[in-house]
Amino acid sequence: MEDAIAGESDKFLVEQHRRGDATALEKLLSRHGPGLFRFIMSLARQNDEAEEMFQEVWFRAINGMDKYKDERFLSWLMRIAHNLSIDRWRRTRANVVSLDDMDEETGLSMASMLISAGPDPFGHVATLDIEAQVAAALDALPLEQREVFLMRVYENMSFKEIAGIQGVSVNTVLARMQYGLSKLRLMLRDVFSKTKGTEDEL
Amino acid sequence: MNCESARQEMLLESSGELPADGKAALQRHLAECGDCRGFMADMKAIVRLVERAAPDSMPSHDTIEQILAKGRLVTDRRPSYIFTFTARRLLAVAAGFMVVAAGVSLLAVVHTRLGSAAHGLRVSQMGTIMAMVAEDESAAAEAAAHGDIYPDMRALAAHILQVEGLAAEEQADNEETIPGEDEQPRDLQSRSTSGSQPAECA
Repeated sequence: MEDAIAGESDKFLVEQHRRGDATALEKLLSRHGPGLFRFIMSLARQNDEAEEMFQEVWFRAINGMDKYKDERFLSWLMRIAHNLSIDRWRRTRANVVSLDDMDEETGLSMASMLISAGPDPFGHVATLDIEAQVAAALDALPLEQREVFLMRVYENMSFKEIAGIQGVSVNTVLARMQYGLSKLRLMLRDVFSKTKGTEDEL
Repeated sequence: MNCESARQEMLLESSGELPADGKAALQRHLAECGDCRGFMADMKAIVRLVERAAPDSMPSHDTIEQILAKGRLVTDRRPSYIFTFTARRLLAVAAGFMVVAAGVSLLAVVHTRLGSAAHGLRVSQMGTIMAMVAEDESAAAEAAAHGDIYPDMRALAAHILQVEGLAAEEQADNEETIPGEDEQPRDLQSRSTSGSQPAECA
């Protein structure tokens, strides 16, 4: 059964859906639903919000299926999710402070202010268990950097593909990934040392 | 190669987007740069951490059902493939028929107009020539004015007149020397000048 599903390309299933085959959507959903949900869940964190966003992405995809062109279907879904998350981020921006935001008085970025504030600027991260620490560190990244990181790590997407989804150059995506890694490296240094120690012991 | 570009190339190598010559240059840089080797090791460790911490939750059954219901709603509203296919073919045939009909009509109009123009030309030429032949100068001028299509029509008409005149003279000569087979007895009075035989000789 899996082979049969794998043998049908996304393009073929989209075409079947356009022709009125209701099972085509079911196959697309079972093929790309888990990856998309994991990505959205990592963006939204709240389960109900992730469910709502996941549903909205698929609704938009169903309504716009005629606009789908010959590309990886998951990339298309990711682009919809990216646009949705940008919309949501704009709505909630007033309540969020990014590490890249500049302080008006000092002219320093929030990240540098946090670092200079004490020996453990991400202390709240360090108090959580490893999974929660990683999630909290990812949440602290600016949206564009987080998206790049998640698409690359969870979905094994190429940087070129991610650039297409975000509508920017490959160099911009590489820079986002690099900044994201540098921040994660800083925030997760305690986790690093713990896991490294464990791995060394093993 | 500096560390900045080396780190970007590390990322491209991890996604399989670095060409072979870039790999060789990166290896040379890594052999010499401890910081970049450290960055690479940390990058791999972060990716492993994030992979481990990936959320494994799935969308709820209700969400999936709502998406599928939406899909069914859209496919039910959409005209069936056979209908759309037939409608498209019919439209194509109708469009083709209209193009052919328009072409035929256009040809007919062009033919009629060209025929009228040619007919008008012939009539005009004939009128001019006939008026010339009749030596009616005013009629010839009028005909030539109305049918000012053939500028040297007068010359042609004059030539015809000349030819006709010569022909008339020649015919007159022939009539005197060679009597026709159906010739009627001539009026003897008119031939009295010859006076070869008396009228009442019998």
